[in-house]
Amino acid sequence: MVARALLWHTTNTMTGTLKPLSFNPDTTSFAHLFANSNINTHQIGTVLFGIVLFLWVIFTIIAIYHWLRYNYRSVITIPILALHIFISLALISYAWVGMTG
Amino acid sequence: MGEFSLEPEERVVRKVRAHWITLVGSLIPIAILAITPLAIKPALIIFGAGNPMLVTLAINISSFLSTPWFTTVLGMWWLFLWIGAFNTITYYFLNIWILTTERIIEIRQPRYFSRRISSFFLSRVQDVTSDVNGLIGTLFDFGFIHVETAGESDNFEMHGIRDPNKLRDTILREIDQIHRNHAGDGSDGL
Repeated sequence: MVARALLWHTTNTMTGTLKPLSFNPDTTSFAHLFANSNINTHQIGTVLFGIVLFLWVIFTIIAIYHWLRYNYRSVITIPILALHIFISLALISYAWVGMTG
Repeated sequence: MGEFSLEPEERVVRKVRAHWITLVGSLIPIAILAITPLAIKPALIIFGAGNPMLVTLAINISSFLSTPWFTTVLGMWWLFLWIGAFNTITYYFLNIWILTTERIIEIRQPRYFSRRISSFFLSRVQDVTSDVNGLIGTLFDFGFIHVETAGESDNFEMHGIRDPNKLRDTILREIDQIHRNHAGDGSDGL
């Protein structure tokens, strides 16, 4: 909020005549790009999200295979795989919040 | 190890991986890419303070940053970067040198489903060179080691390893031990 207030202040002092700009998040979102078409942005987002999820699953299977096949005796194998799953799921959840929010 | 078998009297002396600082160095570009989306707005505010156009752009960007779409895009971006980081970590742990009392075994994994295991006998080693270069290398004591072998076989190099001088000494000590043992049995050392 402080940064935003500073921005407004800077704009006004620089030009002297400019009024504070109104904030309208919808005008800059992807939804605006498809506003006049029949494309459903939520469906596009869902498909993209599905593709990313699919790629992640493939990658994770390959990575787990290599860790368990070639580094199975190492004490860090299971913790690092657990860390990978944990961080990935956290990021997937974060992205999903944007989809549903 | 499962991927190779040791001779009856052969034992593992040391396993060598690249220094952890090389892993950190590989992860730095990924970290920079991760924070880049969050740094756009402050950068525009700082550098655009005297330029009304940049200020307007910063305001528009800040409004986009507050949309749910940005959360989704950012989450996917970070997920891709994490996959890249985990790739780097995986390759770091799958590349290893194993020094035994008889040979050096080099396991290289440049990418997934591509694994090369090669070994050469210490008795064939002609020269071992270690090199620590630069400020970072000297501070963290890492560098490369080059092992030259007799005959037509390839020479071996490993970069970014921890304490290469100590590893060179260890290799030379093992070679010396082999020559002593073979001299004891009356064989030629090969």
